[in-house]
Amino acid sequence: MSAPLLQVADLRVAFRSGQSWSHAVDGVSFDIARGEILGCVGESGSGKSATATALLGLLPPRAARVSADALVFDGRDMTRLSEKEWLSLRGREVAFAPQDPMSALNPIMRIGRHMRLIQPRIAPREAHAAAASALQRMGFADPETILRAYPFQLSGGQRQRALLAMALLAKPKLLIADEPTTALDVTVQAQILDLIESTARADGLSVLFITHNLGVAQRLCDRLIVMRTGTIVESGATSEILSAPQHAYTRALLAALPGAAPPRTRLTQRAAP
Amino acid sequence: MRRPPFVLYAGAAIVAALGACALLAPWIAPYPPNAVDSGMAFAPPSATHWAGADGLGRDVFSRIVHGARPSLLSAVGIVAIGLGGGALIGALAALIGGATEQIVMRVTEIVMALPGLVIALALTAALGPSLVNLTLALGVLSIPFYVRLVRGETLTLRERGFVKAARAMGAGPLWLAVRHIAPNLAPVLAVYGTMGLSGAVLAASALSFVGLGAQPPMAEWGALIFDGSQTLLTEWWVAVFPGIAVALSALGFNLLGDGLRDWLDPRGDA
Amino acid sequence: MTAAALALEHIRLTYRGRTKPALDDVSLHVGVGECVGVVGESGSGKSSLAAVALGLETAQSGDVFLHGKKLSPHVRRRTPAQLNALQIVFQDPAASLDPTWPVWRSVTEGLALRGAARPAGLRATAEALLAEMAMSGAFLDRKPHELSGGQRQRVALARALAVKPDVLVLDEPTSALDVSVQAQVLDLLLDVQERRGLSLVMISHDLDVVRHLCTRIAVMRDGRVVEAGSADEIFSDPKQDYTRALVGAAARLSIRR
Repeated sequence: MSAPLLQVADLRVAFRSGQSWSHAVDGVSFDIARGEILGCVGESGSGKSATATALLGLLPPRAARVSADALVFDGRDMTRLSEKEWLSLRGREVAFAPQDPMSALNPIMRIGRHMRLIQPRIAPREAHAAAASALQRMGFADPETILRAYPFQLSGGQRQRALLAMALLAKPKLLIADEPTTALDVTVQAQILDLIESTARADGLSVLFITHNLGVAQRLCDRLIVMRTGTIVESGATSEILSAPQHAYTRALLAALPGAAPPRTRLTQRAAP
Repeated sequence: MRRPPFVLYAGAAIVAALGACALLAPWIAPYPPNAVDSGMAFAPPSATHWAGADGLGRDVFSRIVHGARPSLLSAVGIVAIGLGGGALIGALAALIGGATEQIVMRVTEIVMALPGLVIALALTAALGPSLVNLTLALGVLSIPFYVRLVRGETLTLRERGFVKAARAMGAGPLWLAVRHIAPNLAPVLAVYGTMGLSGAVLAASALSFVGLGAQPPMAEWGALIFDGSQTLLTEWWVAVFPGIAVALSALGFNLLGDGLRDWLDPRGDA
Repeated sequence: MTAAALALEHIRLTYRGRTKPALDDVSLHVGVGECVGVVGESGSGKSSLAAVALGLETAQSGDVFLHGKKLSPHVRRRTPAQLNALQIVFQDPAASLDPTWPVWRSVTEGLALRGAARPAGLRATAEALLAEMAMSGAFLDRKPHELSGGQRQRVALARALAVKPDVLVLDEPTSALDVSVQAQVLDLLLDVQERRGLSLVMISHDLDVVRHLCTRIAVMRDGRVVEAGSADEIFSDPKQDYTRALVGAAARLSIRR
C-alpha cells in the first residue's frame, strides 16, 4: 500500500476584497491515490476552482493567500516550492485541462508549434513523433493535419482533445481538469470523458476532475468530494454518495436534476422533509 | 467602482485649469487682451509681462488666457457636431441595416478617404473665414470617424439579449438607439469624445494659423502663433507660449481620455 | 383539427455570405398549452428557428402562423397584438438585461413600448410581476449587475410575461445556471405555464431539461429536423441514428439511480 499521490490537509484560500480577506476555500482535506479519479462536485461559489488553482500554484500572490496543514505531492511539500520548482512541476508532473481551450491556446500558433514548445529538450523529429502519437491517442485519425492547424480551425471538441494531448504529452502523474467538457456538445463530451478515463486507467494517471455535473461525475469518478461555500460537505465512493447521500445539500443537488425526476414534477420542494 | 487612475487626475487638472481660463479670463489675465502699449512692443518675458509682449505691446500671457475661450469653444463645438451626428447616424445605420446601412457606410468611407484638413481648409475658405465656419467644417468632417466607431459598437450590442428582446416586443431603431444603445455606449463615447477634443484643438489652431478661423484682433491660439511666427527667431516668446498652450491642452485631453478609458472600460471589470 | 398556437412551415434560412442553409425546410407545430422541445447540438439551427419565429431573422421562404393567422416575416411589420402574443427569453443571463436599466424598467419595457402608463403605474405592474416570479419589490430599483444569474433569468421571464403572451419561446433559459438554480427556474416555468395556460417552445441542448418539461420533441441537426415525436418515443424508441447517438450520449452523462 503506497502513500497517496496527493495529500491535502486543511487547505485554505482567501482572496483580498478591499481591506479584508474572504475565504473561497475554508479548510478542505482530501487525498488522491495513484491512478484514482477523484471528482470534485459543486456549484458556483463552492470553491472548487479555487482549490484547483491553488493546487497548480497559479493564484496571484498579492490577491490571494493560500495556507494548508499539508500539501504533499508525490512526497514533496508543495507549500515550500519556489516559483522555479513550480515551473518544473506544472505541465510535467501536474497537468491542467481548463474549461475554455480557446483561451489556453495561442490563436496565432499552429497546434504543432504549441506541442513543440512544451518539449524543449527533445530533438525535433522525436518531438514531432511524440506529438503525433499523443494526438492519435486522443482519437485523431490524422494527427498531421491537426499539427498544421491553427486553433480557430478546430471545433470545440477537437481543441479540447488537442489540449488534453498536450497536457498528457509529458506523462504527468496528476491531471487537474476544471470542467473540461462543460462547453461541449453531449456527443463530444461523452467521447472526451471516455478518452480521459481510458488514458487514466492505462497509464495509472491520477485525475482531479472538477465539475458541476453529477451525471458526468458518476460516469467518470471513483470517489467524490461534494463542495459548498468553501468546505467539503460530503465525500466517499461515487456509488455510495449518489445512492445514499448523507448530507442535505447533496440530496438537494440530486433532487434538482431534471433527468432523475418524473417529467413535470417540481424539483425544489422534493428536497423538503 | 474602482479608484480612478492617476492620469485621470493629471488630465482633469490640466483641463480644469484651461476651463478656468476660458470661463474667468478677465479675472485671471493681468491685462485686457487687446490693450496696446507701444512702449512695451516685443518686451521679453519679465515680472510684469510673464510671457512677454507682442509687436503692438499686448501682453502675450493675457492673450493666451483670453484665447482659451475661442480655442476650447471651437474644439468642443467640433466634437459635439462630429460625435453627436456620428453617433446618431452610426447607431441608426447599424439598427436599420440593409441598403440604408450600405449607403451610409460607403459615404463614410469616401469622406474618410479625403484629406480632412485640406477639405476643411477649402470648405472654410468657401464659407468665409470665421471661427464658426471653421467649427462647422471640422465638425462635419469628423462625423465619419464617429459613424464607424458607433456602428461597430452598435453591431455588437445588437446581438445582446436585451436588444433582441426589445426588438421582439416591437422596439424600432429610434427606441433602441436612444434607450439602449446610447446609455450603453456613453462611457465609450465619453472617452473618444475627450480624445477627440485634443485633435480638435490642434486642427482648429491649424486653420486659425493660416487665417481661416479667428480674425484679428481676436485672441485665439492658432492666430497668436501666426502673429509670432514672423519673429520666431528673434522674439520667440510671441509664438512659443501660445504653442505651449495648444500642446498642453492636447496633452490634457489625451490624459483625461486615457484615464477615463482605464476607469470606465466595462471590459476591465470582472 | 384546431389551429396550432404557433406553426412554422417549411422555413428556409441562409445567412448572408453563407452557402449552407441555417434552416433547411424546417416545420414545427406547437399546440395550445403544449410544451414542445427543440433539441440539437451547436450549429443545428435551433436558435435560428427561434429568431425566425420571432421575426428577428427573415427566412428566404416559409411561413410563420400564430393561431392559424400568417405573421409577417419582419418583426417590424407585426401588429402589437401579434408581438405581445409571441415572446422570448434568451439564454445568457448576463446579456439578457440592459446593464444600464433598473429592473422595473426592463420588466415593463413592452408596456412602455405600447405607450402605456406613467412610471408609477409601470412600477406597480413590475412589482406584481416580480411577485409572480417569487422576487420581492426590493429588486425594482436594482441594476442587473446586482442580481444573480437566476434572478436575472426571472426578471427576463417577467419582462416577457408583462405583455401577456400566449406562446413563449425559451432559448436555453437555464443553460448558464447552477443545477439548484436551474431547478428553481424550471419549477417556476412549470408553475407559470400551468397558471397562464401558455404554450412553450423549449430550445435546449440539454435533453434532461427538455424531457422534464416537454411532451413533444423535435431533434435538429445541420438545419434540419431529423426526427420529431412524443418525448417517450424519442427517448425510448429513437428511429434515426443521430437521435440514437444523441440520446445515448446524454443518457451516459445524466444521473442513473
